[in-house]
Amino acid sequence: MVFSLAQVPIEPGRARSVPVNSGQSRGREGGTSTTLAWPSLHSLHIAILRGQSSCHELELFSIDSRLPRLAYQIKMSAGPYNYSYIFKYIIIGDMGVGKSCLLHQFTEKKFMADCPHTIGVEFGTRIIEVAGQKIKLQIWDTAGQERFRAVTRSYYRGAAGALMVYDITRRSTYNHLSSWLTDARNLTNPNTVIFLIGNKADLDAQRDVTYEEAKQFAEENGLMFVEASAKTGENVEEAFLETAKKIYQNIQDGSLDLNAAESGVQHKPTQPGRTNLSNDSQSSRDNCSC
Amino acid sequence: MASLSPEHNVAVCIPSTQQCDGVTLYNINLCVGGVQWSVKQRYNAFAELHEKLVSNHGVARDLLPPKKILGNKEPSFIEKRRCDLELYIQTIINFMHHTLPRELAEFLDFHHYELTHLLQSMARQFYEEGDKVLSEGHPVVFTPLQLHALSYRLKNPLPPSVAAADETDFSHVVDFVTQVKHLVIQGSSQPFRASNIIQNNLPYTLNTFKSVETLTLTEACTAPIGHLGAVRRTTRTLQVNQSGMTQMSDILLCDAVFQETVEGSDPHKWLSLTDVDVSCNQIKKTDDSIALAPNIEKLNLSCNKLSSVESLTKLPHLISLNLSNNLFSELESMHTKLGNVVDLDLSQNSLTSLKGLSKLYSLASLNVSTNNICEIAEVSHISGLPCLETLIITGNPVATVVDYRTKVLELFGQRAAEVCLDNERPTQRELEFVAVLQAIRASREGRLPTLSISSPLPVTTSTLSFNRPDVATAVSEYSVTK
Ligand SMILES: Nc1nc2c(ncn2[C@@H]2O[C@H](COP(=O)(O)OP(=O)(O)O)[C@@H](O)[C@H]2O)c(=O)[nH]1
Ligand SMILES: [Mg+2]
Repeated sequence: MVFSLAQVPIEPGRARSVPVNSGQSRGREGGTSTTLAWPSLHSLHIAILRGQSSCHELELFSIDSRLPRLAYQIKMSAGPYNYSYIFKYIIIGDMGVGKSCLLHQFTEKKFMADCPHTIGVEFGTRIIEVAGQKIKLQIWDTAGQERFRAVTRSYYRGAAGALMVYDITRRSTYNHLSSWLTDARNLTNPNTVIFLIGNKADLDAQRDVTYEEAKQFAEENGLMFVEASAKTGENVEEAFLETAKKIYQNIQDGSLDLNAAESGVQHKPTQPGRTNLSNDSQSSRDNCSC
Repeated sequence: MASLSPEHNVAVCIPSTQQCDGVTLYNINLCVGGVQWSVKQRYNAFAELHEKLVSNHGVARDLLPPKKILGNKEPSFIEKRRCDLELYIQTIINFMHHTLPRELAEFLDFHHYELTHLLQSMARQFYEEGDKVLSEGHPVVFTPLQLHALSYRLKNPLPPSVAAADETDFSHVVDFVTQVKHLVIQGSSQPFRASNIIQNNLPYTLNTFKSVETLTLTEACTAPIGHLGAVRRTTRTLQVNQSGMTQMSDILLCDAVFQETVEGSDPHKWLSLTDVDVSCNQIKKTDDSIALAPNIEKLNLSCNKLSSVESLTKLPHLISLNLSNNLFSELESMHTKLGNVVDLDLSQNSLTSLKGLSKLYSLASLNVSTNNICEIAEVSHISGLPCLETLIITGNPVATVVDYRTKVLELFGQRAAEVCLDNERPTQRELEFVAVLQAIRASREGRLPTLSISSPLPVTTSTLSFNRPDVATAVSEYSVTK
């Protein structure tokens, strides 16, 4: 299938047809032929999404003709496509403190000892559960070096959570925290949850920063804090999950407005029981007043 | 490339108009950082855009040249309106080119040509449809322009003025891309839509793709691929067609600084690759780089410019090889070049002899259709191959010889019944006939006829067979050729 949809969603209140320049068809089947399965599983949110924002003008550049456009179904009720929120995270801190290892430990549950240097940015995702809600974390791992700063700064915007990492065995990485914090505060929104991680807790013998002083720094600046180890996995889950819980709390108590620009959170409601997109998209078209 | 940034100005003009189905279209030309494109819009579209800009972005209502119901087809009127609309759109662009609201960007097709808006429209698509597409596991088609935009964004800061709505966040693009399993890159050497962008010239990297199992390049050049990243490690099926490749290293080493194979633990190995289709290119020789993909089982080199093969012994797992539609005229000791190939397609070449295949003992299926084989005797070079069961010779001059099928089958001796010739198993009648031919040959050669292949044959072969005119011809012909 050729995935080239030009979509022009129109806010429901102001339903008007927007002229879209029609793309010339440049479809071409990519070799593998596909048979559409009709799975029995219930789901999902895409269906609902479409149903919800019912005023869509769809323009299909090119959809392989063998694939009945209106006969889509979503196969899984579990797995990577079922979640109701997306939270965007960034991981910041000096080079070599273990940011990439923390991300890898969190997404792959493995320690990557010979992790390559991050050039610019890296990306990872994982779906977690908070209060019975499935949440997809989209995590940007940034390069710590100054020369990448212009690029990495682009990723602060719209982050719901920021993990700020230092290395407990290297005092300099701790001393730089205030400059990282300034960046984070300036470039994210006021609701962004900032979580401080003292990494390499497994190297207690080489410790250069005490738990107490870091704890105090965190309290003074209103940050959440743990010491963790990307190597042993200790407290890694906790750091990512506690951040998500805090964000979720902020949503629940209304302090984080989902509709605000750059909130870093998207709601993707699921409605179990709606299984078939064909009826859905059909009706969404019929109802469409545009 | 066109990317909104402080150093790039947006130049816009409306140099001409055209009539289309009774409607006047205004040709809007844009130029951003060396990229030019044009958009055709009618007056009503301007009016709709203006309406939105007025209500959403505080643009002055009287800026747009007014509507006119009558006489709006007069050339002088159209010319005046063209000037007025040009002034209008230039004023608007001057006023808003830094923030470029979506309504305006889409009116001017920025989302097709300008990287920031292209990425935003991709993000929106993937946010809304991405999970569905991925869950269905269909191939996903990207253009070099999209891939270029993606690579560009990873290396360059986002312009600060760009409005960031959450569904247009770049994370959605990368999130989707990291999950794509079946990637198709559809290139083009023609100008892209109404622009001067030649997609096949745009550089891009693939290192954001972390899950690619099948990679297909169609009409896309391999040279602009700067970095393959995990794709080299994860790809199992590779297909590169109509991409003008002249050798395998064009793709296998597309991102290497030196396009030379390093022996041993080369970081450029494609260890998961088992199925390769590089048909319809300009490949003249099979170079050493193939050793970078030592697990290839299936290799399709059809429709290229090959006249010989080398290096394929470096593929110990190669089972199926397609060399059809190339320039082979001669085959030399293929067993020393192909290892243990089971399935070989040499159709549509210019072969006159099958001699070079005589020791390719692993062969079970051979297609030499549409070549230049004239002599039945050529088949004797392969009739001794112990595993050969499927043979396609049709389309050669030899196939027009009288009793061609039986004569070919006869050469297989005891195994004639097991051979499927030209997609047909031998009929009972053919087998009887073959047995007769074999008996005759045996007696000529002074051996005792053995009639074991086909049980229902009567013992008095010669009497019976000479009652049948077809056998008579066969035998007489046989004698002549002797
Ligand atoms: N002992 C120990 N080493 C770690 C830990 N986390 C990372 N490292 C090592 O620290 C180095 C830098 O890690 P990396 O993730 O690349 O740092 P980044 O530059 O912040 O992304 C690597 O050599 C890792 O093996 C940890 O928790 N314990
Ligand atoms: Mg790193």
